[in-house]
Amino acid sequence: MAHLYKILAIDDEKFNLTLLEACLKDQNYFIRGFTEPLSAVGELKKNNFDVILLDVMLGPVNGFDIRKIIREINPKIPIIFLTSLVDDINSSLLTKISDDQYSYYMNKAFDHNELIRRIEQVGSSYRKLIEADDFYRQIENDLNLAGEVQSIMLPRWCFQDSSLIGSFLYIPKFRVSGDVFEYFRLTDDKFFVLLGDISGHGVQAALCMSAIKSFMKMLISESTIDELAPHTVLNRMNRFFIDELAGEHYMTVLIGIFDTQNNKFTFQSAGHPMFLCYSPAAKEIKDINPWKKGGMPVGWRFNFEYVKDDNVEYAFNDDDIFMGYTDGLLELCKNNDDAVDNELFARLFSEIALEDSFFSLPYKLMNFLSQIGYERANDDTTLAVFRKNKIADTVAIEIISLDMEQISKSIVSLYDFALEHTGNEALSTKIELLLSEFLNNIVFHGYKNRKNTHAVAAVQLEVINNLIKLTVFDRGQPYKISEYATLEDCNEQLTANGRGLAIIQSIAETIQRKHYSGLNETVFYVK
Amino acid sequence: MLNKIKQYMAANLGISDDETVKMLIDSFNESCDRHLESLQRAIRSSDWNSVRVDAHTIKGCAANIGADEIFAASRALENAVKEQNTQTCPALLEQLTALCRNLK
Repeated sequence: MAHLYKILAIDDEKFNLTLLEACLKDQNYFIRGFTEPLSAVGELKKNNFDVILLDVMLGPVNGFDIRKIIREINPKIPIIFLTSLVDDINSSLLTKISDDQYSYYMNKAFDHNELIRRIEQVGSSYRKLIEADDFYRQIENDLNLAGEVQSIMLPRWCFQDSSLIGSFLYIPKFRVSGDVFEYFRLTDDKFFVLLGDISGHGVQAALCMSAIKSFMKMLISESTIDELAPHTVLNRMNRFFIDELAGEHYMTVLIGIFDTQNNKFTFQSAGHPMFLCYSPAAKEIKDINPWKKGGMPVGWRFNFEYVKDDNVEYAFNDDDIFMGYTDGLLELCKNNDDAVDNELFARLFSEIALEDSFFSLPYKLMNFLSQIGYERANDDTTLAVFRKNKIADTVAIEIISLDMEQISKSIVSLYDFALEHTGNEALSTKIELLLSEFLNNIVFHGYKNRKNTHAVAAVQLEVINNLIKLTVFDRGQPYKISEYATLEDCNEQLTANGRGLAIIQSIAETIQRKHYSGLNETVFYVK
Repeated sequence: MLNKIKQYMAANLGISDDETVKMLIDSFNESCDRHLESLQRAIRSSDWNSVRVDAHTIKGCAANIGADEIFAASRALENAVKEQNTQTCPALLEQLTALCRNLK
C-alpha cells in the first residue's frame, strides 16, 4: 500500500480548500486546510506534514511572508505555491518562489493527475531527505558513542607505572581512530610497548584497532617474556591480520620490550615511523636504528616472515625520552599543503624536550606545529612520550584520578615528601592547602562538564633549595591564557573557576597557567 | 456552462460523482456571492485595491473548475483596475454577476 501523504493547505478562499479536499479525497492523502495562515503555522508546529500547498495572495499577508515563518519551523518541508497570478516578463514570481530550495510552483488551474504527481514527487523526496537526516543523526550518535568507548579503551593520557612514565596525545580525524598506543607491564621492570596505525581511518580502522588490542591482551596474558620477542609477536600479528581481519587491512606498528633493569629497548618496526630518543645529557636526538632494520607493515603479505635479525636492541640512559608517533603527524598540512617533515619534527622535539615538563611534551609539540600553521589533519594522529620512571631524589610525581578520595591520598603523599625533603612543616602545609584547593575546586570543576572517563591529572613537585615548584598538568576545561598574560590575568581566570583562589593566591609566590592543544599546565612557586 | 464545468471536473480534477460535484458548485456559488457583494461595496466606495483582490479570488476559483466565462469576466475586472480603467468596472461587475447567476 502506498504511503499516506499528509498535506497542509493554506488558502484564504474556503472554496479552494474544499476543492483540494475533494480532489485528494483518496486513501493516500490526509489534508488539513486553513484559511487563516497563522492557524496553519500553529498546526505545523504540532504535527508533521509531508507537503504544504500555499496560496500566494492571502489577504493582508502574502504567501512569501508565511513561507519565512514556516522555514523557521521546518527548513526543508516542500512548499508548492498554488497561484493564479500571472508572472511578469522578468519571471519575478518564479524567481521569488525558487529563492527557496524546497519551494515549487503550480498553476491554480491544475490538473488532478499533475497535482498528485507533484505532491508525491516532492513528498517522497522530502521523506527520503528526512530518513537520510535521521540516518546521519543516528550515525553521528553511534560515532560519538564509539569515540567515547574507544577513549575508555585507551590508556590514561598520562601514566606512571612501577618503572615507566609517559603521556600521549590522541587526535582521531573522524571521531574514532585507527591509531593504537598501549603498554603492558610484564614485570616491574619490563614493559611491552606498542604504537600502531591501522590503514585508513574512521569506523573500520577503529574496529580493527579494537580487535588488535584484544588480540594483544590475550597474547600477552598467555605468553612468557621470551615468547614476546618483537619478531615473534609481529609474526603472530601478521597471521591475525590475514586470518581474522580478512586481509583487508594492514598496520604499521612499532613494538618492543622496554627493560628498565638493563636499560635496553628491544624493538622492531613493521613499516612504522621510527621512535625518536632525546638525550637530555647530550642535548641531542639519537638515532635508535642506524642500520634501518625492520619489516614491512603487518597484514601486507601472508607469507612474510619477521626475523630476529631485524630486532634492534637499543641501550638507553636513565633520563632518555622516547617519542613515538603515527604518520598522521607527518600528514599535518598547512593551507598550502606543505606537510610536516621528519627534520622539522625532530628539531621541534629537541627544543621542547629541553624544558622540564615531560608530561606536556606531546601537547606542546602539537601546539607549536599548529602555531606555525600545521593544522589540517588528513589522518588520525597519536604522539606518545615515555621514559624510565627514575626521577631525581628532589622530585615527586603523582598521577591522580580526579575523585575526592584519590586526591586526598595523593596530597598526603606529596605533603610527606615535601616535609621529608625540606623539614619545613609550614611550607609542606602550604603545599597541602594549595593542592587541595586547586585540585578539588579548579581541576575537579574543570572536568565536571566534560565527558571524560580519564579525568586524571599529573602533579610534579620539585624541591629547589627553600622553594617548591609545583606543576599540575590537567585536561579539564581549557581557559586560554596567552603566554604573555600577566599574573593578574591568570588570577582572574582562576577566580572564575573556583572559590579557592584566595587561598591559592595567598600561598603561591607566582602562578603561571598555559594551555597546549587540550592540556593545561599550571606552575606554582611556593616558599 | 454547468455541463462544461462538470466535464472539466471529470477530466481534469478526477471528480465525477454527482454529490461531490453538487457540493463544489454550491461552494463555488457561495464564494462568488460573497465576493460579488464585496465587489459592489468596493466599487461604490472606489476601493480599487479591494476590487482587484476580490476579482482575483473569483478568477482563481473559476480557473480551478474550468468556469471559463466567469474566469474571463473576473480577469477583465482585475485588469481594468490594474490598467486604471476603473470607469469600466461597474459594467464589468454587472457582466460577471450575470454569469455567476447563470450557474445557479
